[in-house]
Amino acid sequence: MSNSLLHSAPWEKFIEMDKSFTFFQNALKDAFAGSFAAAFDKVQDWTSMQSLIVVSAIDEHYDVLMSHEELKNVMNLEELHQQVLQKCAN
Amino acid sequence: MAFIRANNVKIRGISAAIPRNEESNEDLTDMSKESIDLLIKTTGIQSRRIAPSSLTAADMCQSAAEKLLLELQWDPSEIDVLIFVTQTPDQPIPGSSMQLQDRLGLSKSCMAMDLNQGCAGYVYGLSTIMSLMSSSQLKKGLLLVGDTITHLLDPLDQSTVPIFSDAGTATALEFDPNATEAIFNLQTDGSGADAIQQLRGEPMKMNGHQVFHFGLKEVVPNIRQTLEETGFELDSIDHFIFHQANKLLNESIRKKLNIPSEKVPYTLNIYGNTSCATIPLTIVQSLNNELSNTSKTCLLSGFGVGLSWGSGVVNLSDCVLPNLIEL
Repeated sequence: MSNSLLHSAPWEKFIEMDKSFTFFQNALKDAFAGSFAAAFDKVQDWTSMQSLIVVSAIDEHYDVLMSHEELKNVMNLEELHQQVLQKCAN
Repeated sequence: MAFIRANNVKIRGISAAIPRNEESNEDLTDMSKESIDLLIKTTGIQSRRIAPSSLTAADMCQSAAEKLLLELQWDPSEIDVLIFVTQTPDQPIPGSSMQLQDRLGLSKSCMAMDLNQGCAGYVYGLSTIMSLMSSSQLKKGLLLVGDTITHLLDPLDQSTVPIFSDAGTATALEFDPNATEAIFNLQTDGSGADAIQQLRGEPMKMNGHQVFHFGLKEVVPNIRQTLEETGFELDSIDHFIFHQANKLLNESIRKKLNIPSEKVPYTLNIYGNTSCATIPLTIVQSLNNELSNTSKTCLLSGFGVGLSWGSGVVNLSDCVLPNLIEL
């Protein structure tokens, strides 16, 4: 992420961001570096450590913080992606 | 904003002591190989140093202080102020700083006090002792910072045992009219006190998600504010010494601030999270070849139990860093 992006206003970041589900999926897959294939799509099966990795990846790529409670209430990756975009827009 | 400026005080040396007893996260029982691999990859912690019950934080700090005084050729009677930062004193009453004054052979005219602080303890302690010395022109001071957090853990708790480790450190400070100003930015949020907590008669517990969320939310703005207040550009800081919490959190902070990885040393892979001692321990372990004859501007950032967090910009030049002591 460039310095200019870090210091830009939130709506500017949102406009510049890749909002596609594919980008989201790949960002999370990269964070796990291939060590998380089996239960990747089942959010509620994630272990505590796996959840932390996801929280960190979302923060890094979207500058959005997801709480543990928010993650627990999400059923699948698509739903999580939608929540992240919604938080970005706010 | 609790910005603290301390003039005319120089850090002359830092030393650290760790227990000889080493435990590897590879050897954790009750966890699958897959879980252990993910744990090591995520936390970055491969091994930890565990103090036997007979070895206290005060013992390790005393050894670190004795070695530092010897290398600096300081007479213990010259010390005007001693601050001991710990959450694991030898006993509740009296504070261990008073006993350390005696054990180190410091004079009766030396003031001594304990400061109960955790992961932000080094930054809090350093700002406190530097402010005291600066405002009252105290000549020489000792900041002792250490914990035996592993003595507080439930041995079956998989959220704390693989993380925490023990260490004690000593930092020597001297009044010097030519010293570069140090600036600190300290913050607190007691509403998150239950994130890391030890209630009477119970082991210490940690809500990893709460701590992680707090770290991601608060540390980066705190560091940015500190840089703005000091007028330093990110590029002009030689080293960023972060509290060694866990690699995932520390790397997130580093990436958000766009700091090159070579400026952020790590020791948590070999020493784990030693609570308040991580910052001085990391300086001793990682910068001992760099600080003998050069001047380095370092940003220190501590964050955790409390919730409490803070950062400071300090100059480290001609700083004595004796080899790590194993006890």
